[in-house]
Amino acid sequence: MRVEVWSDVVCPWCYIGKRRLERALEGFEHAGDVEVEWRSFQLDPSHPKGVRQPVYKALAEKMGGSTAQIRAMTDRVKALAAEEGLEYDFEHSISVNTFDAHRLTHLAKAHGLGAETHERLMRAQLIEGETLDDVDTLVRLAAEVGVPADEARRVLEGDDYTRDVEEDIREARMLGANGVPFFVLDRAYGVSGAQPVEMFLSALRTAYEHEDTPAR
Amino acid sequence: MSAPASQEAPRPEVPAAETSPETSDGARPLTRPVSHAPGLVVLGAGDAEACSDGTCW
Repeated sequence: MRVEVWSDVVCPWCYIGKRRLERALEGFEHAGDVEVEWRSFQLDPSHPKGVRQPVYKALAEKMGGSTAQIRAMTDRVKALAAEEGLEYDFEHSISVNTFDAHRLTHLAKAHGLGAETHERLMRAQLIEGETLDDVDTLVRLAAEVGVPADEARRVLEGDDYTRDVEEDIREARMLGANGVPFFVLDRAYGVSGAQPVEMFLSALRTAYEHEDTPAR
Repeated sequence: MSAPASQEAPRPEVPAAETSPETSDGARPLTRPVSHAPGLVVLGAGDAEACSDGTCW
């Protein structure tokens, strides 16, 4: 069974959803038959490349209100992330354009390291306050999970995998994903958002049960 | 496995969205009407947390 997940590395609900899916898989009796593939999605493709802004400041400008109000607004997601063992640090998170991070993830995918790289980049963005449009930072993070540093740098300094990222995003739109995380099981079932663990488990069982049923 | 999503109706054995079986807590509907994912049966409550249009809060 194939589970595709559209996600962005700056998306706090995506990391929570990832953990909940992983917990569901731990309880799924056929987990060994499941292949999870992470697909690219940009929450804010209009974010200008090269522009870096503290997350709270960026949110305050975008949504209006003070940074104090924005902090209060993020309390709930921080609390729910903590329940999944994720200690988000929005104080030090930097808003960037994530397109290059996704291109890097596609290189990693070519090395069989897509999932590891997506996990590493999410942690770097949401917990560690790394700057995910910085080439040196991205090369270092990718190398930590086994992506050859020279290849990562070559990709990031060029435009390789641009079409792959664009195709992922186009496909998400085609499937009707208005937000992320967006989970698609065997191209038959969709799960939108960071649903509860029991919901993911139920979806996995439903998809598995109907796996051999051809779509009309 | 990787065929494009069909624009047609979901698999016949799949319960209709309106049947809304519930999860173990008995509170959240397992399925909801397919409103934004052509070719997919969308499972889960519609109020789950997600980021959309660049906003997560």
